[in-house]
Amino acid sequence: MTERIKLSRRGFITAVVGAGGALVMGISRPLMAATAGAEPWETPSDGTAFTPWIKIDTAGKVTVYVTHPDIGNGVITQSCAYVREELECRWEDIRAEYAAPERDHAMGSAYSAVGGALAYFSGRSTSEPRRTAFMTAAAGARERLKAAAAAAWGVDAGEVAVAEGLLSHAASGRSAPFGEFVQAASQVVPEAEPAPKTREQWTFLNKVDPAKIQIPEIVTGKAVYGIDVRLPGMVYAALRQSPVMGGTLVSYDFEAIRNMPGVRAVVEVRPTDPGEPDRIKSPFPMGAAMNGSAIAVIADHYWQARTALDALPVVWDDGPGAKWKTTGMIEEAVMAATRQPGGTVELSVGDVEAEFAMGGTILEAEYMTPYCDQVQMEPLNCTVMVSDSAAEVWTPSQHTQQVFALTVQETGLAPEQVKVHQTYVGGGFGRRVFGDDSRMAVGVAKGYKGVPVHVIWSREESVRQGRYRSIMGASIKAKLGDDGLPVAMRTRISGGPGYFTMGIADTVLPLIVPNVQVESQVVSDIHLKVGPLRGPGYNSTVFFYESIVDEMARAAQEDPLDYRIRLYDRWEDKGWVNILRVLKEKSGWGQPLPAGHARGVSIGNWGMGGRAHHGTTLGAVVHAEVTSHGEIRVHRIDVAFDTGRVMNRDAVRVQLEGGTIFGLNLALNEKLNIENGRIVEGNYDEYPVIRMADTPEIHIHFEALTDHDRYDEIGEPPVGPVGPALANAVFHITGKQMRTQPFREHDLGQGGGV
Amino acid sequence: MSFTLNINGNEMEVDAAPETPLLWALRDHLGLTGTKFGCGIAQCGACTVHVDGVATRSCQFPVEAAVGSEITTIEGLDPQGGHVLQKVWTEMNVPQCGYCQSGMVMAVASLLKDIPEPTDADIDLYVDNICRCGTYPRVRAAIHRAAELMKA
Amino acid sequence: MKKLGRFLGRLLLAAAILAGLAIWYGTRLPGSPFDGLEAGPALPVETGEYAARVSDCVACHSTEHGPPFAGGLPMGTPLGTIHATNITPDPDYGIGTYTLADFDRAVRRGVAPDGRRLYPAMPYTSYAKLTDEDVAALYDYFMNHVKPVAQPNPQNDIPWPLSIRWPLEFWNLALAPTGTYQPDPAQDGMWNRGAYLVQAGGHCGACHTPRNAIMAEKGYDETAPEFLAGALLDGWYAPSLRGASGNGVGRWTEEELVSFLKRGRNRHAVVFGSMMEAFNNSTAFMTNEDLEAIAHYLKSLPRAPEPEWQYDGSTTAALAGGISADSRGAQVYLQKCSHCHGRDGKGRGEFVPPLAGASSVLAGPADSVVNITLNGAGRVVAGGVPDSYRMPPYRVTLSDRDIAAVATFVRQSWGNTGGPVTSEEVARLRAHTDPFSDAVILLQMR
Repeated sequence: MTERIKLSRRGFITAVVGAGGALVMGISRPLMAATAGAEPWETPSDGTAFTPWIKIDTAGKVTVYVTHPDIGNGVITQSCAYVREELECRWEDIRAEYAAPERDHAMGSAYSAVGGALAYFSGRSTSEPRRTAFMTAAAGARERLKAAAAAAWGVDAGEVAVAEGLLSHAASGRSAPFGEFVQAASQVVPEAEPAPKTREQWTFLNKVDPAKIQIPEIVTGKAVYGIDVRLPGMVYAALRQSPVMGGTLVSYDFEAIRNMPGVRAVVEVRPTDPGEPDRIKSPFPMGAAMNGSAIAVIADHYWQARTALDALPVVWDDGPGAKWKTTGMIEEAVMAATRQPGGTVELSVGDVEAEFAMGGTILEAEYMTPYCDQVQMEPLNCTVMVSDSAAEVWTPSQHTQQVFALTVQETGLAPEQVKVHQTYVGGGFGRRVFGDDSRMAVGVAKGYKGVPVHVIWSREESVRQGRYRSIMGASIKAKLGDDGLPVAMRTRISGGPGYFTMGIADTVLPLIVPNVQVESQVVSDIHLKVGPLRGPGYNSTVFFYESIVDEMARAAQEDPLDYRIRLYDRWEDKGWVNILRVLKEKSGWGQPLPAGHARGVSIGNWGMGGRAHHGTTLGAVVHAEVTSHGEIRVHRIDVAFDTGRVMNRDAVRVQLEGGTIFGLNLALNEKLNIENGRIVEGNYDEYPVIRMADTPEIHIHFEALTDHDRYDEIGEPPVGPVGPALANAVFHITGKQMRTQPFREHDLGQGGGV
Repeated sequence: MSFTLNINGNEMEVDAAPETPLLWALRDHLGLTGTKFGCGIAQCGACTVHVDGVATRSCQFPVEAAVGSEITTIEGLDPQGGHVLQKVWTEMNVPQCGYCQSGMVMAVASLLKDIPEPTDADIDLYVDNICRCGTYPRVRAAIHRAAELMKA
Repeated sequence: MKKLGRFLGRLLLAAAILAGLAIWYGTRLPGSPFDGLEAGPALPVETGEYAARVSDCVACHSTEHGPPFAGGLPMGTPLGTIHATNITPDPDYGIGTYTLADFDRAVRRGVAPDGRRLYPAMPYTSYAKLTDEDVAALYDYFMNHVKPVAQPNPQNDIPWPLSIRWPLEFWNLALAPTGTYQPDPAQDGMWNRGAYLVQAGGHCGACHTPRNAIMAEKGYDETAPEFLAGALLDGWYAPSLRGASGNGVGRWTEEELVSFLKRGRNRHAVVFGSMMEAFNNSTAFMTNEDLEAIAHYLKSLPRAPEPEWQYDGSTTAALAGGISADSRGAQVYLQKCSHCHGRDGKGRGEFVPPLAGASSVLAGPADSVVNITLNGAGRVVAGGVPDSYRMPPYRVTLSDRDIAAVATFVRQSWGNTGGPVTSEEVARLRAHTDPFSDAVILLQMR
């Protein structure tokens, strides 16, 4: 609400005649947009000098300027749906383009004032402030069109109706399409901007579930992802960074590849000086995207560049990270840290040690989740042209505003000399938020100026130079009261530098146990870089907590689902218990299964930050089998959730299906190993990903929605609970509690003995 | 070396080393960027095209070996987007990020040619592409729907 | 009792004398034609370097990240792990103090200057056939063109008493050739050149000739019927190189053999496993003339007639639809293998090898098929250019049962006549092998 007031007070809404007589509804900022549409890289710059949120041309076609990248979750479509709700145009007349970040900077953070950093994809890309912005702009356009028609027809504007892109006046029988009044509408100066409709007035949002509008481009191969950027004079670069993060280049021998076909140059990228002052304020700290030592071969075509890079003799100094000879060394260091007191106290309530000293039923367990990579389908890439007076970047980023700032920083150019184009994004899952990929490309292009340089990480380079989900370990000690529910719990967690603590102290379990101590430590000399991975922190901490909750239920000799209903009933947000009840009813819980099969349950909340009625609560029941060869098969997953309300049910269902599969894979398959400081795995052959044949039946249940007034995030929530639900199911089959991920590494012997 | 390839019904010239993977000949030499680079080792299927009607991972297919074959890419499946799979994919909201989907569609198109009414087991076997977003349930449903429409 | 004691005493004395003689014999220095001779004037670097390439010294005496010839490559043997030594001219840790005769004794007789016998992991049994000229060229190369590196040799971990070296001399006495290659006057120069390269520097028999119970090669030249007849070593089956007829390599023409050794590939196969290392470091650098001579010689070796492999297309048709649900091997092939090797098993030109009719697939032992499926292939580098096509390792994504099923399928499809593979065989190989790296590993000689 505050955002809306801010908007109207500032009087942001303006209307101007755009190129070709189009009505451009803008929040008065100049425009330079990269198209996401079918005509890539034609900048609609001819005469249009304002940042529009909406443009309507004289044929009635509507362009929505989308402020956030769509990485597969439907941001573009949702932005268009907001506009459609207010504008009452035809859905098929809407197209989308991405808005540009450089003008946000030039005009004093105009876009980013609305709900945070521009062009940063996270779970909140289409939340309330942006919804209000789109809907306010669309309502303003609608009212101007009505006013223009009313003036032309000599009728009262209040009597002009709008539907499906058509203006009409019932009494006079007149009607006309939008296009006819676009120019006149741009001259209208209304007394006040109309307020967006209330939820009760919606006719499109919540009623129609449009599919993503870019699908026709995707299925014809026309969608332009970062890796598809083709520019005149463009050259290709293959990149290799120090195989051990933090290492440096010692030497290379260009002569060995100089005469290979297509080879133009070798460019060395030097590590960013850590003390380099920031030249521009960036949305994220720039430290997450400092360039490491790297080398790139530039050639006429990518395959030439890559082959030459493989043939190039390079000597690296591995640096201090090489001391981690094995994965086991890192695991031991992390687990050792969880076994001792003295960490940062994240939460302390009552006196856990006193409770433990009194004896009783005490459980102790250690858990661990490994380093993992996002392995998004589109390998990292970025296209950059740098000259002495300008830089232009085409990037499949999750955060182009950060890329903009990094480009200014890395080139030393003025912000006014830098342009950043957002392309389609072939998956992100957190990998593309820091902009390190784009900054590295800028670093390469700086060494080969004057033409666009298209830098592609091979898959192996992408995986081995990640911003990983950190290893995390947890030692948990809990005491159960006479009723079987926990009276004290001590959690000590640890991980590599930068690991996420989300969900360790601010989720429900530590909040409903009377005596709680949560401590965290960092193993600070691990050299591997970390970043967000779909549900950061949460995707480990739910595994820790929901595994021990099952162990508690077992100690209490109670059905794990019923136990959870009793346990989480202590929490004021009844969404938790709702979800468990829906799952009990819908998943077939308790119904007999063949030998070797069992169900497991788990629940968590993404985004609550210690508060009730915040974030998305999600529970899962996994029906799994362990074969006589000890192989885990997952047959069915039931998911119930409470995100308050949902806007586009089908979009929500899609995200939950995908997130469920993502969470399943994370728990079952994913792990990066370390050898002499290097990441061992490089590609899908050694880093397995679930395929069609491994995909279980997935049932998404909407019945647990509480209708609380929020539309919370939906991409991350399933990633936490699916893993522990599976581990719990496997325990019920085999009697073995898998306390480390990935589960494929566990020897389950004869399984269920089938 | 210069090679003449038959792509989407057109003769096209590619000047490249004989071992250049067909994927890069398509993408970089001919500008057909609908065929995607995912892994480079024939594991993910994002680069799937048809070679003489058979779904083929072009990242591990030397351009030299493509001479004399009919190659179809996503751009040639139906440029107007009128192929039944393109319609069903849109209606059923199958893609998420969409990056793997041109390969996915090509794999499915080849399957439906060989097995017009595939069972779930057939789908598991022939559509082994990786989708990190997890569109598998939708892809499966869309295949069955397309088979129905093609039958009618 | 007294008598018995005296007898035992004598026996012990005799044994001690015999042992002393044996140790003396097993540690004495054999003669060298270079005894008392100084090395000649320095030769151009290329001369000795080529001899070192042919003999593939670098493959064992260098490691990926170490300086050339400074040693350190660990080699697993049934007795324990031994390390290739530093052969740079460093006086303390390398061979800097070796005379030409010392060097000769080490290379051709397996004897260090202090009389210690080398483990026959050093293929002196083949190098014994090197000419004096090539030995002198090698000496010149290592003494004058290789940079000295003061890198100590790692300790071998072979336990006592197996670590006693002198008994090796008796193994040598019984089994190792001691004379240089003698040309066969009945054959032409090309044949003799080929025979010399194969038997001496190339030491092809080290992998391709089967070994007897005490690990000696069953023959060192064409007079032995089992010379190069195919052998299992260290998880790989090195196929028979013999013959102008039959299956596998026997079907290859001389030109195809040359292509294989020069470019790492031909229409039948691409180098992999241990052969990839021999190719990357040795045969790729040999002259066409020498490779032609090798091919010419190999084709002259007689081979027992075998039923000829005939392509059978019924597998291909089955893979296009209608695979039975219980054919796990066919399913795995379709999902994991067919994308490169093709449903027809014919591969992709010269870049992805066919599995239909492949020698490694038709071979009796299935080790190579299982090993490459588990561990993939390394990067083949021909003419300085790394290949674009590499078999990935499947040890993570496929179970022992799946690999056994697909290996069996491959060995019995398209007319292939290999035997079935069990998951136990896969498990055994899985336990003592590691996956190949996808990185290009080029061992530098300069």
